[in-house]
Amino acid sequence: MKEETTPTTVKDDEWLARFILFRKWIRSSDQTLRPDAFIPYPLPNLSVTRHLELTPIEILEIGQAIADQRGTKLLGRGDVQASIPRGQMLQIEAAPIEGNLNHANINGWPTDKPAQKMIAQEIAARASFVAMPVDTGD
Amino acid sequence: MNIELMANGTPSFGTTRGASETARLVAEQVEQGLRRLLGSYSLGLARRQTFEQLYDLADECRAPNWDGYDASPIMPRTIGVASRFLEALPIGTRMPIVGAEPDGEVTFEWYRSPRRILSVSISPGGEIHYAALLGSSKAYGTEPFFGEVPGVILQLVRRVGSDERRNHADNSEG
Repeated sequence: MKEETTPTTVKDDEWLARFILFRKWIRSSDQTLRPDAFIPYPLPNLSVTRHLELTPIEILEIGQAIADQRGTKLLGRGDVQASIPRGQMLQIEAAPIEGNLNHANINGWPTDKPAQKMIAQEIAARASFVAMPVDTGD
Repeated sequence: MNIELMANGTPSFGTTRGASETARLVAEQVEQGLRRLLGSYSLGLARRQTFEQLYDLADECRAPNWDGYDASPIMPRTIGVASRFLEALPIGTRMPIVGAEPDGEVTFEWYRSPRRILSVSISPGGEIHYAALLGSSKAYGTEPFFGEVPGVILQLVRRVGSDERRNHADNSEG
């Protein structure tokens, strides 16, 4: 996606991807995601990538680049529509960065941990895990 | 009638018909006891496997950025509190799945479906943060851990597992 065409407003029906780089965030029993994957840290942001017009391969490439940069293995992504975190009173802000113009932050999280966990459970319950064509080793 | 233990520890009964019937009853009880004992062994195995998961996690998450998003390492002190929490789970409690959150807290998850779940976070300071989705109901909060699992946590564990039939035997102690 080219910079000049990236919309700054994130619509409710947009899909957001959370790249999964840690195998214990995936339940091997049913290939769903644990809420641990959606705990914001460091606060205040939870980092995601907007799908927009990206193809699945292009999304994969972004995730792979992030994994390579951080020296870890890309296991897949958790997809969730923007309306889900917004329904939990969170905000989504486009935050393009070098190498990922579709980057966005989910912010507005409460500071107390139990409330964060509750919201993360709501998001995880509505997220879909899309595994990359690699062995998760779980 | 007399029932004596022989030198090798096996019970010895008389030779009358009545003694044989009693012996049969006792033998059945012994067999049931053995079954319970074998059951206890396999159930203890579930707890041991959970501890192994915890120690694997400690190894995997001892350095920063273990999640690729600048996660904090899990400190040995947190693993210690988490171990004591596991030890304190009453016999018969279904064992959780072990995980981690990016702030360096250990998580124990009791999971039945995405909307029937209890997640407990163990902090290095001995605080237990918990959140549960139980259909349309929610529960969350913080409890101190002083060596006993708080009652509210045990109640939520039971509620997550209630009506559960499938896979219970694979991951429980009772």
